[in-house]
Amino acid sequence: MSWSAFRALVAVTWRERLLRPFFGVLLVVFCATHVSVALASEGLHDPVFLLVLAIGGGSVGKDVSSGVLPLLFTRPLVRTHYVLTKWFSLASAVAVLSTLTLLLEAAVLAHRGMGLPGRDVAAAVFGSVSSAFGTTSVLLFLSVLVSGYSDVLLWIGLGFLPTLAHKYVPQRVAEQWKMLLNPALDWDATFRGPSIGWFRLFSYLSTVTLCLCLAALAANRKELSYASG
Amino acid sequence: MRPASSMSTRARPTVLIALAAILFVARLASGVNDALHPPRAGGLVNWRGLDGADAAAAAAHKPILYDFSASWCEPCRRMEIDLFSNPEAAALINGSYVPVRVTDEDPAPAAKALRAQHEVEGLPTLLVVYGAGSEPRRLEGYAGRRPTLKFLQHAVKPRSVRKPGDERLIDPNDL
Repeated sequence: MSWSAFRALVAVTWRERLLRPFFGVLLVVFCATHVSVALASEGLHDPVFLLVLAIGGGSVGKDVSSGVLPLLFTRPLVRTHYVLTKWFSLASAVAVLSTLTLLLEAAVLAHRGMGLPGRDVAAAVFGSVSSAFGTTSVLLFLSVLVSGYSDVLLWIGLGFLPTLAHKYVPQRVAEQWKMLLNPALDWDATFRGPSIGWFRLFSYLSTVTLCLCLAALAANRKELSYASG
Repeated sequence: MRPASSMSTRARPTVLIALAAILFVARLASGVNDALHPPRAGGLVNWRGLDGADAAAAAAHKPILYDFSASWCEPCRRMEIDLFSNPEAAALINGSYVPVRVTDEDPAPAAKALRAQHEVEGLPTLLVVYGAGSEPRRLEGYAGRRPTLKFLQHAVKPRSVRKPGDERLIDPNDL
């Protein structure tokens, strides 16, 4: 994929996602809520899930429903490149916003005399960024399969499955399921122990690549027309 | 937009498939390795077994701190590294409690009975058990070092049991 095509897709996605009229209001509410929760709990409160849902939801499905995707695919654009660029642009937007919110929380906590060590803040940012790229890959895969914002509903529904069936599902399975839907890396658990948590690291990377791979394969099989969605 | 050379727009993502396959195999291999050789805990807390914990707590006049955890549990590992490897937290636990670890993999009937008795469903769970007459206190999940440390500092003393009609008894731990 050419650099200019990549840049154009990233810029279009950011513009479309971040400059929506209601998004500014939503972002201010997110930040205020998270800073309040951080002050109440005297610790950082990661906003990444709400941001992923607000920004990453309907990533491909919305393009299908609005008719943008059939038009875009008339161009000589490799579908895998489209999927990967979409993932990168959404995940990076989520990562930047969640990092800024966490830094704001850390600054407010420090101002109130509850400052956290820089290492803890860095670990929280690392977890948030990994979660942004991980969860966006899952949502992107779901978004290729369904139209509009149904991917968000599907993701929430899948997340509730172990809770609904908690009497029949062992906690270990429930935790693996949660890790599959919200792939994230915890700095402390993965890198700070007596040995590197290879299973955690490979689980994360495997889930992300698997979701992107399946999303690309599903996009390749997708037949689009202006009546799609 | 530059034409994608001779590449079909529906070209198979070969590199991505290969990468996903390699990482999936690595995931399976590391999972099997972790199951065969569970990672060793590196904490500073002097955990002891279930046997004789009651007697030790009674002799030392300390409450028992049960840590219900599992090797596969992500928040448990985080708590191990973040809390139990922290000198301040470890000193508090070793000095004020009789720390007992009950892992999910422990097949002993006593461990199963304890889990059932205290209805432990989520991991990690910290449970502080005092002598007769005091209600145990528990903390489920791991919300970070600071709130957990606060819980451990407060939970050293048992909660006062309020008598019906006695409005003057206020539990400072509940404030």
